[in-house]
Amino acid sequence: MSLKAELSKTAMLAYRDVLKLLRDRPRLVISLVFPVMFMLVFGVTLDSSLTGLAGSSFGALPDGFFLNYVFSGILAQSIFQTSFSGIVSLVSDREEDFSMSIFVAPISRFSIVLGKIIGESLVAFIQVFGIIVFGYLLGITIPLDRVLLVLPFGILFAITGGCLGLLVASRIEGKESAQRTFPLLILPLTFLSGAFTPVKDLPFLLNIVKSLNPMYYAVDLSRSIIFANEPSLVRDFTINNGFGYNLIVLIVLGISFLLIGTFLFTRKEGNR
Amino acid sequence: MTPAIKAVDLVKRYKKANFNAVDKINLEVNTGEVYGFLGPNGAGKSTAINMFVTSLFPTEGYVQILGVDTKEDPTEIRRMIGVVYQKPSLDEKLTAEENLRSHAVLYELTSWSPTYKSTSEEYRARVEKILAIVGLKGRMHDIVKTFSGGMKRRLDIAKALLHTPQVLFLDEPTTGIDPQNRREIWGYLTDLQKEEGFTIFLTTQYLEEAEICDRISIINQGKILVTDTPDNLKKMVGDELLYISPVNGKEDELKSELINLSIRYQTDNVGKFIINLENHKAQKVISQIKTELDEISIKRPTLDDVFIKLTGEKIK
Repeated sequence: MSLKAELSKTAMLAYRDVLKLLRDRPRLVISLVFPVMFMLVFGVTLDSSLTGLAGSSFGALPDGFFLNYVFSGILAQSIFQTSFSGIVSLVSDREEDFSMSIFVAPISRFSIVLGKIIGESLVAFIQVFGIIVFGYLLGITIPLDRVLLVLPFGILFAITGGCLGLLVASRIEGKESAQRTFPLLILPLTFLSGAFTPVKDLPFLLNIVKSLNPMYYAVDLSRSIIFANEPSLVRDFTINNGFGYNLIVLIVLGISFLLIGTFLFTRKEGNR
Repeated sequence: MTPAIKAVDLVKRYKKANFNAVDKINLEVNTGEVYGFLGPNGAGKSTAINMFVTSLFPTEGYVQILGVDTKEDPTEIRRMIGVVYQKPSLDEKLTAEENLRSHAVLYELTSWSPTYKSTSEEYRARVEKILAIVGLKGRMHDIVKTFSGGMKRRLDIAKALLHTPQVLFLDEPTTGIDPQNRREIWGYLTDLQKEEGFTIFLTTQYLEEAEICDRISIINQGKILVTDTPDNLKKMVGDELLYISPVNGKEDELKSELINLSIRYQTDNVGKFIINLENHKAQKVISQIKTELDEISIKRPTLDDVFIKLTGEKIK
């Protein structure tokens, strides 16, 4: 099988995902509901209840800080999660609709995974565009160039999320079990990522989970770019690891998930 | 000639299951044949077809499609086959043509392209031909979501045939489709099969659908109970019978007429005359009888009768 033909198949799978999203207006709107709701729930409420606390360390944070904080987290979290859930559903929906016809087509399993990760990344980027617009409407005060600087790294978030999805999906049997397992995984990943609330000082066990959570590094990487030029008080509060550290960990985790996931996935294929 | 499908001592036991979903199946399907698995839900039909189309690997035994082992070179097999599943495998948000285009890219009929116009000529010719056959040419650029169940099914079949496969697998293809649409679909399929000569393997719970097969295997609890032509199978449970009854008072007239024609008959408890059609043509018998009749009917044994005879239960 030629490389050119495989690339063409991969491009088709990715394009199809984007086309499906653009044709599905309700889904476009719904995909923005949660990020906007979280920006409101965590950002706006924390701002109005915490930043005014005189005498606490929160008091020293600038006005509107928490909205910026939650926005910078959601940026990374939503790209990661869209790609993660896209891959999980691709594999768990194998018995349903179009997925099954892809699995009996002459295309390498690796191209299927790659096409889906690229497709879901593009989908995530379309959603992120909406999140950025809503972020400014709600009143974030981050300079736009800082936000745009995060986006190239969004590709890394999407690939790591997709590869983790592959790893998870290769251990899950069927749609029902995926539906049961999915919230059990995505909620701890999200809440221990630091996207909504600080996770700097955690009890021992939670700290271990946090350190193994790839979404945590994605969120921290996003913040290490967005808050790089802020005063040290803000930087200390928002950034846990440095930019370089996060980048290396994400790349290492992404590659490991991809190799292990693809191996388990292709090995399991047919041996159900 | 290499058989289209060959299965030898084929066994599938799912992980954590304590029985074999497919239990030592042996079969050979000739090229160009229409071959069916008939059996109730849970008989192992879908498991078997999934092993044939390389979605599942056998626990024991092996399958060859056109001489290629499914475990050794699944990609080569995938190129040569088309698969139609019980539920249409279509993207509802895309147009009919966009669905076909995705499929065509996977089978290398055309490179990926965002518009129909920039696709290969080979692809466009094939799309127009196949959509014309299934009666969807006018709906080519419509979103699939707006299609009826029967139209989706037809598009799904067009998709599976787009890359001119040598073996077409259909897993309960007309479940949930009304009888008229079902007949139409089989009309398209058999027409195209005559032209392109592909082999058809199907699974079904419908007896009338099984009757279009050249050969049928009746399958239950993972085992093939019997394999034969539909006609031979029906003969297992008896012959076609002609029922006639004369108008009141003409019974003796009919009796002597039948004796003169040396047609053997029996009468049932309500006075109907029963003629076994094994050695007679119904048409000929009727045309020879002068006695006025007020009822004529033919009772054909059905595959249901065969299934009941073999298993003691009805299908479904």
